[in-house]
Amino acid sequence: MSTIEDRLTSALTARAEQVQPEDLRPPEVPAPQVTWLRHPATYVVAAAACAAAIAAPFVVDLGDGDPSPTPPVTTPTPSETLPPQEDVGSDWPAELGTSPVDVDGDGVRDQIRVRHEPGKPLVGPRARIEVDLSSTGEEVFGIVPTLDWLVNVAEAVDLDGDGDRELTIFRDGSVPFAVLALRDGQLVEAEAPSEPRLVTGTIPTGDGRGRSSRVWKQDGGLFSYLSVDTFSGIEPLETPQVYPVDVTQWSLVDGALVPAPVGEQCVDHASTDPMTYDGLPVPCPEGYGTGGSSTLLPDQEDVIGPGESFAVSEGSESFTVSLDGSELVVVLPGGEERRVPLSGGGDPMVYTTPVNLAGGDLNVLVAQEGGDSSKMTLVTLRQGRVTATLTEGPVPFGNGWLGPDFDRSFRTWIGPEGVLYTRVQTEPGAEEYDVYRWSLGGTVSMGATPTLQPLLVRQGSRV
Amino acid sequence: MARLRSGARSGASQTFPPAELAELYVAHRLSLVRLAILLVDDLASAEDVVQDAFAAMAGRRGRLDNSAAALAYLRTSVVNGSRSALRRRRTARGYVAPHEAPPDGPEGKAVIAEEHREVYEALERLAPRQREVLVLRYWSHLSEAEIADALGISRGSVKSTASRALDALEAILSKEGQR
Repeated sequence: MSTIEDRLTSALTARAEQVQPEDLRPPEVPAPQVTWLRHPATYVVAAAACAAAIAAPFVVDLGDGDPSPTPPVTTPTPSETLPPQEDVGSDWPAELGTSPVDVDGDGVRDQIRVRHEPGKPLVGPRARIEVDLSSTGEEVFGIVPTLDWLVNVAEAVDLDGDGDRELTIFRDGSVPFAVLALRDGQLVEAEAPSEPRLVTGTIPTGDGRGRSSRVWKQDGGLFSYLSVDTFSGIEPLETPQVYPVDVTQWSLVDGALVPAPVGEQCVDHASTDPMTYDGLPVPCPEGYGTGGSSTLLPDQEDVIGPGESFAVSEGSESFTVSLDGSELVVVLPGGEERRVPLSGGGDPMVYTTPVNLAGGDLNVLVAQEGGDSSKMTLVTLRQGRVTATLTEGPVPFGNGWLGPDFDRSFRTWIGPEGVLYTRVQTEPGAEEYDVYRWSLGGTVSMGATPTLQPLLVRQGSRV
Repeated sequence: MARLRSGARSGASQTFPPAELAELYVAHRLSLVRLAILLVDDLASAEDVVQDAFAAMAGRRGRLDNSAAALAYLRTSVVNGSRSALRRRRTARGYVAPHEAPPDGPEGKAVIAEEHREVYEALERLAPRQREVLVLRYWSHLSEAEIADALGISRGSVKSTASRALDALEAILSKEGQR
């Protein structure tokens, strides 16, 4: 170790050892809690609740006695009069131009200014949102924390049906929007529940992965979604082209934001013209989401071994795939050859049915068997580049056994229509499996090595 | 295809088993608080971050394969939670009068030695990701692969981040030494 490494190790050890057991609070093991977003009952009632939820979003009842979304604290109630507002930030510089929007609901757009508190590196901790109300001629304002980001007004939406419009304030891509409501001549920040969160960006899940989240205005309402599955990548997330999301509609009651589940839909990057694509969720195509009804079997079994080859057509182009020792060889339509070394050990075999993955020009599955397990590699061709995809994350890829006693099986196969699946046994000896459909992540950077992302399509299924 | 073993059918596991959680809590709470304090600097925040990590573990569906996997999950939660705590604190600091700032460590403890304090203060000036990589490497003694897992980045990023972080640390210390 170098001197600096030694010094660092000593300094860290010294600082850490300042904390001794007697310095800690009394131990308190947290009790198990079920996050309602992942609760199965949420999915069961979501579709049925959809229509009622939109009409009366505050009476959605999960109805099974299990933990359900806790309504936000209702403060303040409309009957209370707000105390006078301290004039804070009227001398802060107006940093960002904001388009006028009709806040007071009189049909005339009101001028908006966002004043950021001076600070470093970019801005101070607070911002003042000012609105010149055309109906009364008065200026109203509200203060929101900036979280060190330049904030701006995203949308104006009437969330409580009182005629005027609430302002959603965008900050960082991983922290919730602030919502300002006009009340008693003040813009007051609405209380928000801890889950779901009004975020456009990534919500980390604590395992090096994250969920995709977005907030948008549609048909006069405010909506958000949160991806059902987690993805690797984080900054940015390597999302597949199609993935299921839980959609929520938001309302404002007594100064508090109230979420109402709308149900599961899909973000489908391929569903519309890329030039006009708005990224909003649509009904899921067959096979996506936990309610998917696609057929998982039979699996494709034809393979080639070393020294063998097969031809495959994808669209109007033809490729030849062969195995040369422990290298996969792909001959492109122009005759160029690409080689990928296979690191799994053992004799490889290649499935002759190409894997159907949006985002790859050609995808083939290679298996290398060893003992009671097989290492599998998905080789993909994108923009003339052939690479072995990454399969990091919580879901295993290939065939084998999980757990400390290696007694929970997992198995990967190519199903009908070339869809790639992995099933994971829920318990040792059980005949129930969680089934994942693999998608190619990396919609952001086509030049990067693609990552396979698992999407849960069946939970506890008897495949 | 792997052949499945026969046996009694049982349902999917629900939340993390309380007994296993309690064992993990007793075994790892102190070391995780120590990890957190190296990332967030004050004991109260460090304890909050660790408590949140265990709470998340308690609400997790299904069990992890082994205690190493559980510890890795907790470690990642602590790192992410510490990053969030720092971000929240940057906001809160605008509202907190200086005399109300959190104490710099456990009350009643001896002040850290001068040579360690210099290094530690230099560490505080690094970017959060650099600091995380150095703490996980030189205090938690994790491998590059384990750090990559904990931070959700590639091994290559771990290596390059650590290298740049050490260079930056050395540069800060050298500059401070010339004053």
